Amino acid sequence: MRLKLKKYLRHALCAIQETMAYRVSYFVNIISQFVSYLAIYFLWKAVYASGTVIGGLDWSDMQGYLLISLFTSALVSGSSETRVQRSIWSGNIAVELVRPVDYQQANFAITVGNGLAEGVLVAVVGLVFAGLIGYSTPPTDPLTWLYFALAMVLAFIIKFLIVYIFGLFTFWTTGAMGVAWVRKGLTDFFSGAIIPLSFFPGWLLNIANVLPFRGITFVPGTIFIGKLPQDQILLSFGLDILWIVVLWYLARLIWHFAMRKVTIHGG
Amino acid sequence: MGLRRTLFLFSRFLAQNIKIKLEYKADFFLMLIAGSAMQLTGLLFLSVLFSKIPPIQGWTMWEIVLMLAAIFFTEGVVSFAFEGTWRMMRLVNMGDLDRMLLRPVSPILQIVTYDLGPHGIGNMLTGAILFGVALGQAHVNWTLDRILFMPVLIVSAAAIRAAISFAANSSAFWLVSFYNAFPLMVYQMADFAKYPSTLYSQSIQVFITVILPYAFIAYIPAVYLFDKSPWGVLAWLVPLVALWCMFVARSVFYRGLRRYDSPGN
Repeated sequence: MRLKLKKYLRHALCAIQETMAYRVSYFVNIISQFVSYLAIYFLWKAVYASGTVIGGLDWSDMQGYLLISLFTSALVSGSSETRVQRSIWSGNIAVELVRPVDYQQANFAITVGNGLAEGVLVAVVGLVFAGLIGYSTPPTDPLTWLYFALAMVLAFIIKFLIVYIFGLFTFWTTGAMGVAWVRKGLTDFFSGAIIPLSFFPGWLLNIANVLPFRGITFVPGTIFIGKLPQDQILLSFGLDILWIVVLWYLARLIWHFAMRKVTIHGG
Repeated sequence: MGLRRTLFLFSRFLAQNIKIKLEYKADFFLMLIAGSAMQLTGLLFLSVLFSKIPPIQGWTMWEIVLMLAAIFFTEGVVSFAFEGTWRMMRLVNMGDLDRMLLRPVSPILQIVTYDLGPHGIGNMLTGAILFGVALGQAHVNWTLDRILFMPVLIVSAAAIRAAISFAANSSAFWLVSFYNAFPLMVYQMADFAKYPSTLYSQSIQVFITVILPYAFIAYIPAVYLFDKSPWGVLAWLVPLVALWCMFVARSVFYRGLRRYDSPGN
C-alpha cells in the first residue's frame, strides 16, 4: 500500500515539475482561458447595468460567482485535457500500458500535480482580477470556507473524471479536437460556468440537476456567494460523491472496452 | 502563379482532403455533430439569459444571435478550407515543410490545405441556418446596398479570421516548441467578437478594432445592418481590413520562413 501510494505521489510530483518546465505554455494557456472569460464577464456587467437583482443574485454576488467560475473552468484544462488523447494518438499509450501502474490512477495523480501547479497560477490571476474589478465581498464565515474547500475538491475530481472519460473516446476516433470541444461545451453550459443554473427554466434545470456537471461550478460558486442553503449543500455533496463513484467505474468500464479495441501504430 | 491556377489547385486540394476524411466516417460525422453541438449551447445560453433580462444596451437577443451565427459560419469556413493552418507547428518542427518548399506551388496554399476540419461543415450549416432565422426575427431595414454588401462582408469576415489564425500560427518559426499555446490564445480572443464591442472596456475595444481586428467580423457589420450607431460607416472598411490582414499574415509568414532551418528529415 505504501509503495503503491509512493508510485502515484511520484507521478504527481513529476507533473508539478513538468508544469514548471513548460511554464510559458501554461501561462499562455491560463491567459487564453482568462480572455474568453473576460468576454462573458463584460456581458454580465452590461446585463447588470440595467437591473439590480436578476435571478436572485445582485452584481457583487455575480462577480463572486464568476470569479469561482474562472477558477473551475481553468482547472483540469490545457495539457490535462488532451493528455489521454495525445498518448493514444502518438502511440505512447503502448508504453503506458506496460508500466506497472493503473492507468486511471496514474492519470489522476498527474492531473492532481498539474492542478496544484496550475491552481496557484489561476489563483494569482483570479486575485489580481478580483482586485481590479474591486470585488470586496468574499465569505467571512469559516464554515462557508470549509464547505467551499470541500466543494472545490469534489469539483476537481468530477472534472478530472469527465475529462478522462471524454479522453478515452479517442480510442474510437482519430481526431482529438472534436471530443474536447463537446466536453467543453457540455461542461461550460451544464456546470453553470457561463450562466448560473438558477437562471435556467424549470425543464432545463431538472436536466442540469441530475447531471454530474453541476458539481464543477454551480455548487462551489453558489456556496462561495452564500446562496446555497445548508441542506442543499449537503445534498449536493452527496450527489457529487455518488457521481464520482459512478464515473470512476464508468471510466473503468470504458477502458475495458477500449483495450479490446486498441490499435497501436508502432512505437 | 496566377489566381486561376491557385483557385484550381485549392479546389483540388480540398476535394482530396474530403476524400481522406471520408475514409474515417465515424470521425467525420462525429466532428460534424461536435461543431453544431457547441453552437447550440451558445444559443441556449443567449435564450436563457434573454428570458431574464431586457435588451442589453439596446441589442435584442436575435441581433446578438445574428452576430453569433456570423461567427459560427465564418469559423466553419476557416476550419473547413484552411484547417492546415493549425498544422504549421508540426510542419515546422518535424521539418515536413521542406517537402512543400521544393514544390513549385506557393507554400501558403499547401499549408492551409494540409488538413481539413469536418466540424467546419457542421459550423457552416448551423451558422447559416441560425443566420437565416436571426435575420427573420431581428429587424433589418433592407436597402439595396445592404443586400449587395452582405456577401462581401461575410467573405471578408472569413478572410480576416483565416489571416489572423495564419499569422498567429506562423509564430511556430519563432517559438520552437511542441506545445505552442500562442495561436490558441489569439484564436480564443475571437470570443470578444461574439458580443457588441461597446460592452467592453475602452482598451479592449481599441484592441479588437485596431490591433486584432475581430470587431470587423461581426460587430461592425451588425452595427451597419441594424443601424445601431454612426459607426456603421466603418462597415465599408471591412473588405480593406481583410486585405490588410492577409497582407500582414503573408509578410509574417515569409519573414518567419527566412528564419526556418530544417531539423532534417
